Amino acid sequence: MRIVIDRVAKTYVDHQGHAVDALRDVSFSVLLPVSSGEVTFESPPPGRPLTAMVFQEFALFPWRTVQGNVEFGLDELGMAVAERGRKARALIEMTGLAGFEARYPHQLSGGMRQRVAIARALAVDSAALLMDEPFSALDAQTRQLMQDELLALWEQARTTILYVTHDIQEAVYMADTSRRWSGSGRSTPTPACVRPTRC
Amino acid sequence: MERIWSLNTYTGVRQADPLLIRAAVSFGAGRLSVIRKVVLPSALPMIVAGLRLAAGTALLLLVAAEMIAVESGVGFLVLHAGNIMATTKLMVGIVVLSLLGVLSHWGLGRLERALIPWRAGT
Repeated sequence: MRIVIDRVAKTYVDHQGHAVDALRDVSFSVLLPVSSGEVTFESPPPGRPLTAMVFQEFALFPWRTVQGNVEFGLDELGMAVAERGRKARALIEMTGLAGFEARYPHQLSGGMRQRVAIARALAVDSAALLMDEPFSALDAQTRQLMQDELLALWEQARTTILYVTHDIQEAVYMADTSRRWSGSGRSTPTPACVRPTRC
Repeated sequence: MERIWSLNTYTGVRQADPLLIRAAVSFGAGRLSVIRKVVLPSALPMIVAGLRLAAGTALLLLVAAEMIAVESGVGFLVLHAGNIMATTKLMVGIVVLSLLGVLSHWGLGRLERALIPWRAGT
């Protein structure tokens, strides 16, 4: 599936929008209206949700256990209890959280919380995975570890991932294709090639 | 008392984290789903806290009302025993009232732990 981001801009009234802020809200225009331009998903696979999202601040539901959090999206899709339990367990296994199913988010470390969020997003098997600076709240060591783990997960899941980051090194390391977005509060953010290959 | 409770519930509902609401919406949650799965659980601690506050006030007001308005109940017993210098009876009344207070506090504490197992330190 191809994701087309066409001359998208987001104008902020209350603060000077950073380019990355703009792109973030833009790429997630599924959730937030953009000021101009459009984000289109070309020929999305039928029968699957378009997007699932991983947030910078994890955004786990504190009243749900690891298992409950991973099941959230499946529940919204209307999946039967037994099946979503099975699927959630598979993803918990895959993200290295086995044994922590019954824990609550406040009992987990930052890296583990973000694994839960990734498992929750992967569970719904969406056409695209949107990741909004997913590792920027983690310490440097955990971040590197999670980058490698995400790449390994991606090797298995092969989902299109749209990944927003401030960290150019991270972008170059993780991405097949990267775009640099710049622009001040007034001008339209312009995507530019960081890596010429496949741009 | 009911007002304390509903005020607390109101505050609790208003305090639902917008990020969590966004997260729920990103997974396709509709309005009802968001209320049931995000707003209510995040308001629950405030609701229970309000319940605890209200329970204390309720007990206090009940006893005060018994002292003033009626000729039965523990409040009346305490006041009446005090008036006729029946210290033993007076003490019984006071002990019963204290026990009621402690009991309701303990019961609601248990309810809180049962309803809100995700709170740190419980």
